[in-house]
Amino acid sequence: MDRELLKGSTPLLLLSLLSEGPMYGYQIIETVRARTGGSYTLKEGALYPALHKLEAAEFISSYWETQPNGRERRYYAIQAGGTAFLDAKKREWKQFVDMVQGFVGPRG
Amino acid sequence: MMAAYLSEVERGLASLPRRRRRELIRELEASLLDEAESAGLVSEEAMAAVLDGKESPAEIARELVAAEADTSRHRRQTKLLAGGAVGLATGGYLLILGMLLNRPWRFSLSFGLAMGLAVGVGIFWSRSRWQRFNPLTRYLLAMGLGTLLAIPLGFVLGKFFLWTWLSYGTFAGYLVERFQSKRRVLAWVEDNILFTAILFALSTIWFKSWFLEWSDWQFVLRAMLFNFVIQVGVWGGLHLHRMLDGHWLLKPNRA
Repeated sequence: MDRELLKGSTPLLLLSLLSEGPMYGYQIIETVRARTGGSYTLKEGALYPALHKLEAAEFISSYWETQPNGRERRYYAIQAGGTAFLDAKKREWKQFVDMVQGFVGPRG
Repeated sequence: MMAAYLSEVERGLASLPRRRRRELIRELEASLLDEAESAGLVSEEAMAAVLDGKESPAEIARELVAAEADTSRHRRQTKLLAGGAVGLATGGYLLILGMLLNRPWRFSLSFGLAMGLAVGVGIFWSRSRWQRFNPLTRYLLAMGLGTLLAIPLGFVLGKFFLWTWLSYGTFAGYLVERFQSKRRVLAWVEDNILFTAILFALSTIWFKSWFLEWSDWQFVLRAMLFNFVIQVGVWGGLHLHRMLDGHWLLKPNRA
């Protein structure tokens, strides 16, 4: 798989994951690894800058939460702006896939 | 082992403000501890194996610093442009109205600048700090800050301080929160009528001329039209903001 293509899609991938509920950094890394069958690992150097940019765009927000063992985690949660952006991009993506499918998909 | 790794990352973040640097390190440390904990790692050797699989401290620091610089540049530009949309709408409307009513253009320019730069940029800039709060708190903070930022508006006439104009800042703050979700057309009308009524009530207290203003339907219509211009300005500013954000987020990383 083209890793550059995946890297460019990181903000949408993150918004999509966060639309399922708040997550912390390592949880996101593990979820991506699990869902791609281990073929794509999100590195910290790509994940955190992407999360911080999404936060600067007010598409997500973050908060620290102390765990029962005393350790802290920074959780990220999607905001209304992020949901609207994700929905719009999902519609565009569907249109794009349908169009390409018309050329490269099986012909009936 | 991990402390040495983090301290090397922190050295690479030297160009960032101390508070931000500490926050980034704290987050990275939490992530590494989560990974170690989930893998059941307790020994130094095992931790060393985890860190071996990571990017080098210099590399991770470079990515973080590049993103911070890019974010800071983008934030400055978008807030200024979004605030500019508010100022352009209100100043532009007043300019046209001023030409029709033979009023000086300096008034439109001062009003547009104060409304755009102080109120618009100020609210757009600060909003990220309270967006996680509950809706009521968000509204109160946005309206409160909008009111304070509108202080320059009160001096625009230059003769005396017109405190009723602070309410334009309150209205802009309210609208920034209001437009975060999709709005029905009717809600625009409701907001406009409500705000116009509040403004007239405030003016009544200030000028003690209730009958004169409400009976002048042209004056009422002009006030409603101006409030509509503020609504369009804030709505446009927010949309411009989101469009630029989306474009920025999806553009290939030049770092």
